[in-house]
Amino acid sequence: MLNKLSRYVIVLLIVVVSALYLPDFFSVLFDKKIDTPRIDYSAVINEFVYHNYHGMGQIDYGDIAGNTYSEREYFQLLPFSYYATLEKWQQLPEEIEGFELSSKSIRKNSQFFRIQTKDINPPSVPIYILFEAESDYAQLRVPDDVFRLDNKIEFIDPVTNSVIEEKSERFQQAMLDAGFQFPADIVAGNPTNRKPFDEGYFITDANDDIFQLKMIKGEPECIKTGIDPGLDIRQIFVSENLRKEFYGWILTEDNKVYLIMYDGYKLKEVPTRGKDDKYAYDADEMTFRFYTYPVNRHIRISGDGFTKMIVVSNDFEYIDEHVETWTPYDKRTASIVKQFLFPFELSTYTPEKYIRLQMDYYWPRNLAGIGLSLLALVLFSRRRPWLDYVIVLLTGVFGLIGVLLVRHED
Amino acid sequence: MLKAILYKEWIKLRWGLLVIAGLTVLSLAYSIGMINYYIEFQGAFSNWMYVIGKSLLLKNIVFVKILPLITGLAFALLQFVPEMAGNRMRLSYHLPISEKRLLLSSVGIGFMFLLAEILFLFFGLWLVVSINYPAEVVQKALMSTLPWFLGGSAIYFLISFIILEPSWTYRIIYGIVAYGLTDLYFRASTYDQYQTLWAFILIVAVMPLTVMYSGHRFRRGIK
Repeated sequence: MLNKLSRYVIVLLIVVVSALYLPDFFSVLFDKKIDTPRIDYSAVINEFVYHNYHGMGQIDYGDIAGNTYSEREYFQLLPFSYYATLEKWQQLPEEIEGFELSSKSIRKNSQFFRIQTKDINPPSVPIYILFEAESDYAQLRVPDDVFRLDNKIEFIDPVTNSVIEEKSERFQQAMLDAGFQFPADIVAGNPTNRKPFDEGYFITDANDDIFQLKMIKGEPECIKTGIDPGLDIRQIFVSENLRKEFYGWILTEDNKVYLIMYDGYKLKEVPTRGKDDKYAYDADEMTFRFYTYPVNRHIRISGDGFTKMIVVSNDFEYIDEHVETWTPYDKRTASIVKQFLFPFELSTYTPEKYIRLQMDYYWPRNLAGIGLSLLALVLFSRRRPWLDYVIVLLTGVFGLIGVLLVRHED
Repeated sequence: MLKAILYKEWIKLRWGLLVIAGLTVLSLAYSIGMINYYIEFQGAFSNWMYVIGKSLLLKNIVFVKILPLITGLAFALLQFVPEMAGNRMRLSYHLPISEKRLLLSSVGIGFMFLLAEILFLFFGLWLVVSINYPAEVVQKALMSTLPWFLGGSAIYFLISFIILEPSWTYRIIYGIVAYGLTDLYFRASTYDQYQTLWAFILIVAVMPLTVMYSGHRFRRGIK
């Protein structure tokens, strides 16, 4: 009895290993890259344009109306992306929609951010640094302490690895005075000194109210932003930019994106779905990109098999949208064959950079592989314990490998 | 009977235990040295930034990652190679105890010793990282070591089972399986990436059962 159990444990371990590696090897051997078009919006002709790499340095340029362009023509359609090259060619247009074009003016009036799945609650150590926001120096100076923020705020001196009591109390008191209810929940900042200035941290408290915490001349400044606590925030991102239009952006649990504006912390919703609901943004599976250009703003949502682009005016008035699609991964030949062959696949990598054992079960395509495996077992290897058949029924080719390799011993 | 087996395994393992304990102390000393070196040359604040943002600590405690593997491998070899050399295992099968209980107790006792070494390493590391780093870093560093310890345990059980297997063909197949399974525990590149460990624990937990099949095949005289 125990010997049988022992054998099945070995078979199951073989199933685990095969399910982890075989489908992966299969993909490595047979997956083909497919050409995916990159779409963009030309403010010159007010039309969506694209370029498409075909490998070997071959690139098509065109617009969705069906015109094709040479590389030079294409660059001229997108002066806000290719201004540096255009300036070198001396082909940068004088103005578009009343906006005077120069490298400098474009750079000053453009801003870009993206939200990738791996940016949302990634594995991290909850220790933060707070810059001096009104520094006497030209650049931001790296501070010499760090802080933790949960049931209270505590500054820690790395040299002695101990709490700096006096500073901690001052900040704690400032936060309490602003109406902050400990413990803190989301703590969002931009901990780099490669930025023009510092806006500190956006922090949600126990009541889901959002506060901004900064350090000015060594003193704490904590402001209750008044942002709606009922937003169901998933993550806050902070990014200081000289345009000083928004402090950062908020991603909510229902996949909405809001900018936190400098104008009294008002929120501005960025469209995440457009007119067509089909390719609406889903933060767990897609990348969200937001471009601000001098004359308009682009939202680009990209996922497996599609890119959706929405164009709005500077005041967020809807202008146009376009979806470009191609064959998604699980509709490609290699992937379909894989799903017929293997009953399921085990993998450990998640888009959020955590490691957990997860199973993709290829129902009902996997019936083919399971059927073949069972047939092979019945035809070529008879007189087995019934449990062998059950294993193959459940785990297809993986189980077949297992029960054939590890012989049944009476 | 169990006491006698315990004594026998102790005889086989005692030098190994001592050597591994020595290596543990050396590894921890290495970690202290590396941590102090980096703090000295980077400065405490920058070092903290590297430790928090770039997982530098994982590099400085690299032996904590390797040592459980070495320990698992060494204990399995020390315990079961002498038994398999010259088919000495046959003598054990004449003892008034079933082969299954015998094998399971041997593996269980070996694992207890392995666990002792792991705990020694774990608490040593706790001490080492607490000196220079705040509680948050300590917690993340310690959580990062759990999969490594599971990986060391996996190697112990799997190598034991491979040594006990009498046929070389099977040993090679099992070797590939063991490699694939152990790799599961060493996939992290930053702190505390294994958020749900239960599936990984379960896989290790069933591994001791595998030795019985090998023992059974040995008894049947399969070559």
